[in-house]
Amino acid sequence: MIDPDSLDAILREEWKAPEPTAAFEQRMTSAYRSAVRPSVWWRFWKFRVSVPAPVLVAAMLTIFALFFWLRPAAAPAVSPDTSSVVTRLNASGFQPLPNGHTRVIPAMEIQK
Amino acid sequence: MTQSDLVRDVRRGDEHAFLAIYHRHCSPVFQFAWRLTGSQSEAEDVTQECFLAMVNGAAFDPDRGTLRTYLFGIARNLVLRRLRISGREAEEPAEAVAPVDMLGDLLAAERSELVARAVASLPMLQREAIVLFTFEQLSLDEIAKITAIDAGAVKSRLHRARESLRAALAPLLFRDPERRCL
Repeated sequence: MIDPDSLDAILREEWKAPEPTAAFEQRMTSAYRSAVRPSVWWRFWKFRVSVPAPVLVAAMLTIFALFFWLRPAAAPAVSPDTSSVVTRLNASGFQPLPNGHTRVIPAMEIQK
Repeated sequence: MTQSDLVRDVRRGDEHAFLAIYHRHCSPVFQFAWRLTGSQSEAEDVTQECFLAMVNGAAFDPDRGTLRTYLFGIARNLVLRRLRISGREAEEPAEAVAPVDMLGDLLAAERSELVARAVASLPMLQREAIVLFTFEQLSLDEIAKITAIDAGAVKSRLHRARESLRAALAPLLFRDPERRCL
C-alpha cells in the first residue's frame, strides 16, 4: 500500500507550476483601468493635488491675512454708567405742599 | 481593512486596493488555472478574466467563504467554460484514466512530465479536486464551496483521483527507495 503523503509529496515536488510572466501585471492593471468606471464622487474623493511647500505656505499666509483684514471691526466696550442711579419709588398719593415750604415737626409732636 | 472592504473599494475603482488583492492572490489563481488548462497563455487569460469578474461580476460575500475560495470559484467556472467551448473536456468521462506506458515514459521523459501527464489524464472534476487539495491545500469544505457540491462528494472525487494516480504512478513511487512504503 502507498502512503498518501508520499503521493502528495511526489505530486508537489514533480509538478511545479510556473509564475505569470513579468508583463502580466501591467496587462492586468490596464485591463482593470479600462474595466472599472468609478463614480464622479469617488473620483472627486480620490482626487489629489501636489503643491510645493513654499506655494502652500504663501497661500496659507494670504488666506490668514485676508481673514484678519476683512473681518468686521469689534464694537467698543460700553462701561456701565454709575453716575446717575435711578431708583424707582412708589409716588402714588403724594401731594406737594401748597406753598412749597417745609416745616419741621418734632417726633414728640407727631406722637401727640 | 477587511477583505470585503478591499473588494468594495476595488469595485469602486480603487487601483491600490485592486493591486493589493492582485499581489496576494494572483499567483495561486494563475497556478490553479495552469494546472487545470496546462497552458500558460490560457492560464493568464483565465486569471485576467477572474480578477475582472471580481470587479464586474457577482459580489463577494464573506459569509459564503474567503476571498481565496471566491476567486478560485470564479477561475474554476472560467476554466470549465473554456473547456466546454473548446470541446476538450467537460464532465467526468465514463471511461477510466487512460493507461500510461510507464516503462517507456520513465525512459523517455522526465519524472515531472510523467506526473503532469498522469494528473492531466484525470477527469476534469477529479483533477480540480486533487489540485485544490494537494497543491492549494484547501480543506474539503472550502473545495465544496468552490465546486458547489457537498464535502462528501469532494471526498469521493479525491479518493478516485488518488486511486487513479496511485495506479498511474505506482512504478514511480515504488522506484524511489526513499518514498517506498510497502
